[in-house]
Amino acid sequence: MTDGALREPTFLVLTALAAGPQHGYGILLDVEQISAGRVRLRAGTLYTALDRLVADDWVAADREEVVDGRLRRYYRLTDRGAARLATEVERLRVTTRAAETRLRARTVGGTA
Amino acid sequence: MSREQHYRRLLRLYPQDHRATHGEEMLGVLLSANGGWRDDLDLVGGAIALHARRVFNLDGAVPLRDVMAIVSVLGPIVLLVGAAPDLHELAYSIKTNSSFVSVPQEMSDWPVWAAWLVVALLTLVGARRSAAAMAWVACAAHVVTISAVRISYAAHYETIGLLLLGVFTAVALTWSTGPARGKELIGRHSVRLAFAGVALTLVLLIITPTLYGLGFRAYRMGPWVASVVLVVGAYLACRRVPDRRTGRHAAFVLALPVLATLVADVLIGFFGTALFWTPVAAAALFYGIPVMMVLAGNGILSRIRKSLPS
Repeated sequence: MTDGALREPTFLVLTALAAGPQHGYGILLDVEQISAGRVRLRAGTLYTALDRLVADDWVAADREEVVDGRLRRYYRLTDRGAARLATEVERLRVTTRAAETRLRARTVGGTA
Repeated sequence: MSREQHYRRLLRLYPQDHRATHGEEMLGVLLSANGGWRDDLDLVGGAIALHARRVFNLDGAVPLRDVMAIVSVLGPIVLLVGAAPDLHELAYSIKTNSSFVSVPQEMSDWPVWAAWLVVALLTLVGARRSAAAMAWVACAAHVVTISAVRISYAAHYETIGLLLLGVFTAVALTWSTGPARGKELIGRHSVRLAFAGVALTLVLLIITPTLYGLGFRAYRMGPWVASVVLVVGAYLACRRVPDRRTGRHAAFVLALPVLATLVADVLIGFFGTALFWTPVAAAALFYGIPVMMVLAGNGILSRIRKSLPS
């Protein structure tokens, strides 16, 4: 069950953290950028996802800093989280390749 | 009201531990974002989701071994409420000055409750292994008793929850961190409180038949008042546990007798006598649903699901 498909917000949060530690607002902006503006996470959804990801040891708190009197906590991807993301990327690659192959065959078949 | 005040108010909906760790951090994120009613709605949804994760222990923060350690101490005490019908018969015979020529059918399960009394005493004196062995004997005796009265199965569904709690208690005595750890978590005062709660529940259950004189409604209310006393007593006994969530989850397991009766009442109310056309299916529902509720409520089902291969 642990190797089942990830939900999109989870996949995007893990992807956002794959490049390096980020704070909450940074993750929100990055997710929007990664999804080309299609997915816009909000604080409630983000922190529910982080609560789950930290409990599963896929994400961990990295460091804290205070900016303009506000606490900022940075999160990083753990080795377990990176492995899970890699598995998901491979799963998507296989599915995408199959879809591409079939679409190509359909195009060839259609013109024949 | 400023945006900050508005968000602080909404963040109060979040579980206390989450607020303590992430409250200020979330406030910073919310003030950096554009805001609007969608953010408000998302915050409320997040609060509900996080509360649900804690209620069902999906975050795994409640140590199940501690929950079971508490059950190993309080379970044998709570189980003594099962002796109520026997004690009522005994009280009746004393009142009418009659003596038993043979044990009446209503008291055929007395060895089960005698065994649980021994388990409770062994647990309190620290004889864990003997208590565990006796707990399994009590469970086996209970199964034999239920099988013997299977012919009037519908009338005995009230004891299902007691049998289930018996099994959970036996498991707790055998595999948890043990009654010593349980006593350390709840404190001695809580053991006395549990005994007091059970004694009050027993009195209420014993006097219930005499309530018929006050009217049918009073008679029907008796067991439910006793159930409330039992659940509140279990909750109060677990209240002193330093981690409140651990205490609440232990109280939920201890409420199994009431939970199983509620489930049975709902099932019978919904399906009626049709439920007993296939006794195996009825038994699966009567036993299965409360067990699944306790397992799900403690996050065990989720752990099993996660551990399964895809």
